[in-house]
Amino acid sequence: MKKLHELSLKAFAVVVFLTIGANGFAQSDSTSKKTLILTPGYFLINNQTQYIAVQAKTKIDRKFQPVGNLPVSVYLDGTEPKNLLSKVLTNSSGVAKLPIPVAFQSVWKSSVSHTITAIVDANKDFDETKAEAKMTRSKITLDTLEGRNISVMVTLLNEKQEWIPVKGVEMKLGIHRLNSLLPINAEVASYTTDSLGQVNAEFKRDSMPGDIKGEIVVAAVVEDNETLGNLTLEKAIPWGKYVKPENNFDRRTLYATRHKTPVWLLFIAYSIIISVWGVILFLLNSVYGIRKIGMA
Amino acid sequence: MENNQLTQQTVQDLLPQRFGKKGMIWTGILILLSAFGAFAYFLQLRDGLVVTSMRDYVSWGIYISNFVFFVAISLVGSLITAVFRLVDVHWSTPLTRIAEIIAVSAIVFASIIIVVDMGRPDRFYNLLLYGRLQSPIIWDVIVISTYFIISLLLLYFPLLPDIKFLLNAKNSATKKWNGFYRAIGSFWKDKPEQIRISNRAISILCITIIPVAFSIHTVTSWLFATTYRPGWDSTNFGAYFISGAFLVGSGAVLVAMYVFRSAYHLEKYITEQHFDKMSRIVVLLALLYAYFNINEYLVPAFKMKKPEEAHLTELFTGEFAPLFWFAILAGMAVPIMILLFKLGRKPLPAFIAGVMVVVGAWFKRYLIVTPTLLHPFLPMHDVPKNYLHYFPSWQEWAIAIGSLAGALLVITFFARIFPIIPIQETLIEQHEKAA
Repeated sequence: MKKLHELSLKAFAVVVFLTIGANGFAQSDSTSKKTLILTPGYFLINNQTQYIAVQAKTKIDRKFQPVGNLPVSVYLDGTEPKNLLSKVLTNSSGVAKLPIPVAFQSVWKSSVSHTITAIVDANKDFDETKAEAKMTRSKITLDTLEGRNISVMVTLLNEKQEWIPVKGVEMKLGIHRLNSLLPINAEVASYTTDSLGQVNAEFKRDSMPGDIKGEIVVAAVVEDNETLGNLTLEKAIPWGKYVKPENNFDRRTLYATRHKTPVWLLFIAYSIIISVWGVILFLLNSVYGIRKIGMA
Repeated sequence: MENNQLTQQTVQDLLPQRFGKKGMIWTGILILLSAFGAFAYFLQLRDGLVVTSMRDYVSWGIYISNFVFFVAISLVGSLITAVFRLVDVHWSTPLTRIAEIIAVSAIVFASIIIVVDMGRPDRFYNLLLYGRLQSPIIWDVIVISTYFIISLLLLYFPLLPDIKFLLNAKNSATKKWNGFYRAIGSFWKDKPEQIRISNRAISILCITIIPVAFSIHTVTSWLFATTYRPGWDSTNFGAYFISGAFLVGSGAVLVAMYVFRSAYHLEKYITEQHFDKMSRIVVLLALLYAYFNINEYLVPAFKMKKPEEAHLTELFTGEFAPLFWFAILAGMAVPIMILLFKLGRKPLPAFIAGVMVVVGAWFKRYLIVTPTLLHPFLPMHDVPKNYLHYFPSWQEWAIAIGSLAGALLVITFFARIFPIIPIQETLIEQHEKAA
């Protein structure tokens, strides 16, 4: 009986060891892989250009870092092979972009809402990761009103194929400057559409330098909206200040050719050269004078 | 009668002498080194600059370091001759000609070495025909040629009264040069009008040479300072270069004083007092240069801006550290320590300190020019390994050493043909003392 008790204890110990050991190994195997975060998104630019972008990132040293060169499979409305839009690689910023392929245009138009799915297969760094984003086909318009006012309207397509206004859409209105958006009104960071799907904003940027026609590009940007995705509408409006481009070509500058030396430099340089060489000539003449006196 | 004897003795002492055995060996070595340098230059001309170790990054190697060194050393003429003369310092009279011939030979070789650095020297004339006045390189060409002419005139005018001693000398050592002496100064007859014109010319030269000397080295410093690079991007460069130039020139004068004093037995004319005073000047200039060095390195090191970091770290603790600390210690710190003490201002220790100043100064110029080029703002990627480091090829060493030997050869031949201490001025001072 005692022997049986000892045997059962040993067997229990072996089972516990194997269980813990196996779990331990399994765990160490899974902890060696990092967690991948995928963020798919739908982008519509000027109601014309549309594309899907998937952002891939992971946490390294408590900081989010982009994951580059990662193959991502992007599906539309399901994850069957027939729904595969394309398999794309992320760039150095961890972003993989793809347009909606022409072959999927009929599928795209057949429904007002779609689901975009991004899947990364398991590899040595990450487990299989999947993420989804839903979107509804929408449209954004921008008009200028009297008195330097801007009106923006956001609409979406319903099942009856009607464009209906969308309430409560947050957006930014700004001018494109140095790859960022300069708000059209410094006091308002963002705007929200009313029950008519509209935003009315006052343009409060005076004397903004524009292009050679005095035009500036105003943009309405909706970012990461759960229903609409990312919408951008840009419009050139003539509210900028005409700036005559400065062209230093063929002018007298320090970096011009020798024939275009600045006058002030010519004046200073030649004044010094003439003064000093004048003195030298005078001294050479003195040698001649000394010689003449000696020969007399 | 006594005065006449003293005059004759002084003239006899100061007239050029034939080379002795040591002089012949010295001259032979210099000729050999110069000839070897010329041969290396011939190879460079034939095969191109590829024979050097200069590549895409280090395009200014020891040739340009040598150029800066020569320009620096040439400034001594303006200090010893012009500044001292204008402030009425008379003890420097025996040193003026030494300083002037150092200046002339250095500026000649500065011009030569800059042409050596050109890949196609046959196209040099294009610099004059098509050079842009906006470029500091053109300013350098203008100012170097101007300084050369002024230095030559400053050497020539005080030499004129000594020609008559050379022509009247019974000493056979100078006889074969009589034709040359007659060509350049037989018209000097000690007439009051001639003396008046000559004195006026020397005064004008002394005033003119100072701004030109400052310009020559400031413009040389601007070749670097107007280029946006770590180590060169400094507003301090003009003053830093000029103070360094005065130091190396004064160090060279200490060395030359000792050599001429020993070789020509001029102990009566270049006395221990001269060494003492010249050493004090070297200490003052070394302290001044040390001050500018602290400004030049401490301020950027305090900020340690990223692009400067690699450059400064390489200098302080990296590849160039042994050379950097040698230049600081040998070129400034140790000479100051030697010359601060009265015993250190005796001829031999002063000579040793002078040699250290000159050698340290040469390496300092190398450290100003080359390490910066190895630390460009953009990282050096995908280049052959030898682009990442610079060590001069044997041709570069031969040409650099040949040019240094050439400059010394000019000084040596000058001392063989002309009195290295002004005879007329020494006699006038002796008579003034006697009176």
